[in-house]
Amino acid sequence: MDDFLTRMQNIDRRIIYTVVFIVLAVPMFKPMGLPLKITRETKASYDAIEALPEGALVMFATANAPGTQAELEPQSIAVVKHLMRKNAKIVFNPVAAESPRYCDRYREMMAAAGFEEGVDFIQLPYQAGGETLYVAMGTDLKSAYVMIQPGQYELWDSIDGMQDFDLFVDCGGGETQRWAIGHIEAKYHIPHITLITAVILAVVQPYFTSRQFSGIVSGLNGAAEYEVLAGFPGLAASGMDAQSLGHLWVIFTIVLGNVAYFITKAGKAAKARGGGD
Amino acid sequence: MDLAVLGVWIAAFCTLAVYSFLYGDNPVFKFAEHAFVGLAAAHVAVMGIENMRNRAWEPFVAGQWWLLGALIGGVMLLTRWFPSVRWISRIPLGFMMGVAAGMAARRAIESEFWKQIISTAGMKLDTLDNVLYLVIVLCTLSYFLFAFNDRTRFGGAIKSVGVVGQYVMMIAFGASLGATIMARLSLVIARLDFLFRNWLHLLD
Amino acid sequence: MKFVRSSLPIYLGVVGGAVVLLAYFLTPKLLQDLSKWFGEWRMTLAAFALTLGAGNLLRIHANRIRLKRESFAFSYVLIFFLIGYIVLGTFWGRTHPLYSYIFDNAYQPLSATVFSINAFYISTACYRAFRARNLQAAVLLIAGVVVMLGKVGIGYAIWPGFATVTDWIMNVPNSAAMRGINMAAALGALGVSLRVILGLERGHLGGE
Repeated sequence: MDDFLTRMQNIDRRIIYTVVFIVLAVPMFKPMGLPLKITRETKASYDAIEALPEGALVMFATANAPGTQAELEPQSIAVVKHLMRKNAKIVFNPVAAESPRYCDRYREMMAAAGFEEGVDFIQLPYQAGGETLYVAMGTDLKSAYVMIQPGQYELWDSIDGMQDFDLFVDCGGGETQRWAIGHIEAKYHIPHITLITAVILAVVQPYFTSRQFSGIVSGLNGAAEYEVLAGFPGLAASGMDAQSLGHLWVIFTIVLGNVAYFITKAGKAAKARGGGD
Repeated sequence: MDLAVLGVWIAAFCTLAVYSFLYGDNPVFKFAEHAFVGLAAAHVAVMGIENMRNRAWEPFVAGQWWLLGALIGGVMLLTRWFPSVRWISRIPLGFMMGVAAGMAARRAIESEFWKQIISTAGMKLDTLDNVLYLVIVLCTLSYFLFAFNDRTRFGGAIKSVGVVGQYVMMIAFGASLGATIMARLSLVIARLDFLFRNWLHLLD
Repeated sequence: MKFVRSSLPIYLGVVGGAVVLLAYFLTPKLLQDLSKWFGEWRMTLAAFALTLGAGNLLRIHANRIRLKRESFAFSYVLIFFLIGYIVLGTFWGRTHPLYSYIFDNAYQPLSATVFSINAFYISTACYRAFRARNLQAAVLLIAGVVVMLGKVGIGYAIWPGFATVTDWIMNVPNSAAMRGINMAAALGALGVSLRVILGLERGHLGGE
């Protein structure tokens, strides 16, 4: 028995990888139609956008990158579509080096829907500096983007500073949330929703409790919830069944590994006691 | 061949080349790995060059003379590539780190400390959840108090409260663990969705 | 010369940090303008810093080729993609169709897959390493399992209470504990920042 348990605990990792692959792939072909519960944080994000007046001015700051796009892209697309439905004027602000390409796609989406670039939406140029950029935006937005010439964008000319925005949407997988609430929300108290990867949900939760964030959309499940709420079913909702089975498999491995460990440990303890007699 | 179709095949090759590492290191993975590192560093450099041009060089040439200091500092930073003059890069680096420290301090004071204290102190203790919330915040903070000698009665009491904080932090870390596993699985789901839907057309 | 090499960087950090921090508390226009200028200079310097990685990588891999280190042939691959993509992006622009094509069909899938490979390692770790060796570890694992079940449909299908319990865990113990951790971390960050601003910290400047 001990031999079996020890061999089981040292199973070839490639078998585990293959099982993970199968567990995630099968629900894609055979959807299970599992229920989806809408969380308070996602509903609050949806309500914050729903409460915007027609033609509201929104800044969409994104630090989306290939490593986080699996979660952030479905969220972003659902939120941008919702903002389009509200005829919001959007200023796309890429704050990570890879983000401009994602903003290009949102602009293409808006242009295809009949919105006019320069009037209904613009994309700011990427700028290095991280937190320094957020401080600059909070201090003087126009001089933070000194490379945009007067007359280049009608929408940009109509903005004086961050105080003109009706909503700040912040999308990222880490530090940008803290920078935004530290340097923009703290000064201007603009309603602020954040789109994040599931990894940092636990860390940013206190900021929702303290109302520094008006809403949080977190992870692939958050994207699925938002798609359902806003009425734009997409890829996130279709990936939730695979997510469910993946979680079940991980839980099974944790339980199995611990059961084997404790039985082996008890066996060794019993042998030690028996040997000491 | 249609460029879009070719692009999907290139993306599929890149995906499978990286996943091949799961079954062992191999030349195909090494090729993909080196291509990825090269492209990643190149893209960041391109964004840096574009930013240098539109943020500093073009405004400077157009008359914003005060950017000269930043341009000179930037060139000094590039001396980091040359071991014999690497020390020159410490000058702009020191300035950058000082400014970053000032900004981090501002943020820490305002939003991560003051606002959190106000929010905690202002909680209405009219529900069990709110009372529990306040108690947990205090227990967690007391875990980080190292100024008391735990051999004294008072210090021992603080340490016991800190132990409660430790256990609640384990709940928070467990929640983080669950969320992290969720996030990582999402990444694989997205890649599999691409392979089955966009490449093999096995899904609608 | 010793002053320029060792002390000047520290003094510049002190001045830069002090101006930015004081501008938060005080309102004189000169201080506010200086703080704004320093921020703009830092953003420009950060743009230069983005190119440092590429240069360093080029230097290291050129060395590997010169010394014919193990698997040096792949260094040619790296240098080809590095220089080629930089030339394309610098002279033809980020929005050139070929640049975007390579980004969408090579860089993006490579990066996404490299990050996703973590999921398989986590799976192995869950099986081999996540052990409830003591009460704290057991609390951590149980909380993790409950959250994993509560966040997805199958947990709700097994027992709707999982979602309710998960919501409670995230909103009460997790939020409260994280608030305490964030506040303690903010104090630590404040301490380190003040050490840099007061010139007591030198480690961030790196070696010669």
